[in-house]
Amino acid sequence: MKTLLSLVIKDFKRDLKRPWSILLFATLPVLMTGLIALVFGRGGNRSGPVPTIHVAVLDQDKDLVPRMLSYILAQGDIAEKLQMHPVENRDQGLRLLEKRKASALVVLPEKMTERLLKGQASAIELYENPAEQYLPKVVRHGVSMLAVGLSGAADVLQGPAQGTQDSVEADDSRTRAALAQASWQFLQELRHSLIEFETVSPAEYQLQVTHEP
Amino acid sequence: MRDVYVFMFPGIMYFWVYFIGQGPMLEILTERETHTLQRMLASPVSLSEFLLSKMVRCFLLCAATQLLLLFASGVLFGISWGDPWLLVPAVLACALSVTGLLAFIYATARTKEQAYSLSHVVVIVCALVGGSFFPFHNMPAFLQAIGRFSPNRWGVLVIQTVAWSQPRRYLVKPMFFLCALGLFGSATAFFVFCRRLAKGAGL
Repeated sequence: MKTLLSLVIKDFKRDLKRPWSILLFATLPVLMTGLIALVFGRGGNRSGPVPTIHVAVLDQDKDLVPRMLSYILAQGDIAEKLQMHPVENRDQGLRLLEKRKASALVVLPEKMTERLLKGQASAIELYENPAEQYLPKVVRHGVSMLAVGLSGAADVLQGPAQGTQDSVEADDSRTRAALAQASWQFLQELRHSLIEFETVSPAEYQLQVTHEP
Repeated sequence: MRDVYVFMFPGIMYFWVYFIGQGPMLEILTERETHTLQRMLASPVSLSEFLLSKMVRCFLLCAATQLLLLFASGVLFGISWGDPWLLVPAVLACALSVTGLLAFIYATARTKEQAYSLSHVVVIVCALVGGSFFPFHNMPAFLQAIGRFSPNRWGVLVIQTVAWSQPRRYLVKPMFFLCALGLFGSATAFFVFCRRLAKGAGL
C-alpha cells in the first residue's frame, strides 16, 4: 500500500512538472461548451430566446377588421415579438421576402370585412419566405388561428355587427356618437382577456421526467 | 441559457476526460515497449502495485479534472450543478467508468499504437451515440436504443440529474452501470495486464 501510494505521488509530481497536455484537454470542454452555447444560445440573452417575427401585410380591405387586428397586435408582448410591415402592393411585400426582411407576406383581400359580416367566405393569402425554416410556419399557424377566430366571431357577432354597419351607412350624427361609444367599450373588453394563464414555478411541483437508460 | 450549458457541458466534459485518462494507461505500454518495466520490477515494486498505481492515478486524475471543470464552469457560465454531496459520488462514478473502459482497451491491445487508435474509435463512437455532442432525445429512436449502452449517456445522466435536482432514484441505474463498467473493466484489465506483462518481462 505504501509503495502504491509513493508510486502515485511520484507520477503526480511528474504531471505537475509537465501539466500542459492535461491543461489543454481540460480547457477544451470549457471552450467548446462556450462556443456552442454562444452559437445556439444567440450570445446570451441579448435578443431573448424568442426571435422577433417580421410580417409584411398588404391590406386590401382597409375596413374594420384589419384596423381592429392592427390595434390588437400593437398591444403588450405581441408588439415586441411580432413586427408588422404594411406594404402598398404585392410586389413590395415579395421584395421584403426576397431581402429576408420579412418571414411572410399576408394579403387581406378586398371587402373582407363586408363579406365577413354578410357571412360570405373570403381567402387570406399567405406567402411564406422559402429562405426561412421555422418563422414562416409560426406565421402560418397564427394566420390559421386568425381565420378560425374571425369565422367564429363572425358567426356570433353577425347580427349586431351588421346593425353597426347599417348605422355607419345611415351617416347621422347621433348614431355615429353611439357607435363611437360602443366601439370604445368593445375595444376595452377586447383588452380584458377572458382566459389568463399563470406560470407555476418548479419549486411548487416535482417534475416527473423519465429519462432513465 | 443555463439549460444549454447543462445540456452540453457534461457530455463534452466526459468525452475530453477520456483523453486525460489515457496518459497513465499509455505509460504502462510505453514502459513495456521501452523495457523500463523490467528495471522497475527489479526494485521492490511488484507488477500489481505498478498496474494499480497507474489505474489509481487515472481514476484520481479524471475525478480531479471533472471536479475542477464543474467548478470552473459554475464560475464562468453561472451554472449551479446541484447538491455537492450528490455531485461528488456522480463524478467518482464517471471517473471509475473512464478508468475501467480505458484500462480494458489498453490491456487488450497488442501495441501502444493499436491501443491509441482503438481507444479513439471507441471513445468517439461512445460520445456520438451517447449524446455527448447533441441532445440525446433529438436522436433517432434506433440511435437512442444503441446510445443507452454508452457510458457517455450514463455519465451525462448522472451529472444532469444532480444539476436538475431530480429525484435520487434516477441516479441509481446510471450510477450502477458506471460503477459496474469501472469495476469490471479495471478488474479484467488488471488480470490481462498481469498475465501479458509478466510474460513479456520474463517473470
